Amino acid sequence: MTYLAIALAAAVGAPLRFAVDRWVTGRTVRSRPAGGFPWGIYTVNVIGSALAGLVLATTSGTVQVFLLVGFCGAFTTFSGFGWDVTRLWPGNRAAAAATLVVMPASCILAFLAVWHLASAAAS
Amino acid sequence: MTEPATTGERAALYAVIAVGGIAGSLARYAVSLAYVEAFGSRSIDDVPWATLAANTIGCLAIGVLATSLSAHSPNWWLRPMLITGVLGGFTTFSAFALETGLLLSGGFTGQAAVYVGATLAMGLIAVQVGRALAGGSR
Repeated sequence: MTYLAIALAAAVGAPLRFAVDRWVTGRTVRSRPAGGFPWGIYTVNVIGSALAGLVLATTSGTVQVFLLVGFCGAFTTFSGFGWDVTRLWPGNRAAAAATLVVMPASCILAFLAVWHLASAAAS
Repeated sequence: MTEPATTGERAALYAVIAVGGIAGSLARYAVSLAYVEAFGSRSIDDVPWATLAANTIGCLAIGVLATSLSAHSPNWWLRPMLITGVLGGFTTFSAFALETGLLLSGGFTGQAAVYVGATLAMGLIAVQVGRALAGGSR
């Protein structure tokens, strides 16, 4: 049951990550050949982390696993982040360093902010 | 990856990503269950090693696959299925942010620092090791 829920959520989350990543990437200027800050992956990871805060504050049980492990887990990516940092490093160290620092900080803050706000609103 | 030209090609691209995403996400969940099976439930002040393990393995794999799978392979579905689907589904940023946030708000600052530092360091090292294993240049 839990596996089925995770599979269903992942079947939506993973293609949606690809669609949002590509949409955002297509609209952000990459002036340097090495590429710049990965706004597409940044967007999905921040949205997914914020959503995790909302889900944690407002749901429980299988619904929470479905949304947290299935949807948020599939919608966000760590391997894409790791790949981008190492790919950017040789040609654009500023973008690589910014990605390494700003992405985790933004996602942790997005989670905490939404989690606290949603918890306060729900109580 | 070449851009999908027709609606059918686009649907096929999304389908292979969904299939890969299901496999990767279920595997990540299996890792978390195996961790609990082996070491017991995580208490709130523990570093979340299961997520760290999944993210590190996923980074190792993307180093290998993104280096070795040609973007011009006749098997057009391999990269989207394995990299965007399986590895994107297997690794997670939301769990990393959630677990770090909970450690911080619980006052476990040291564990949060260890978790963030280990996740970032292991992830980047793993990608580079994966690249080297696949014989890619830096």
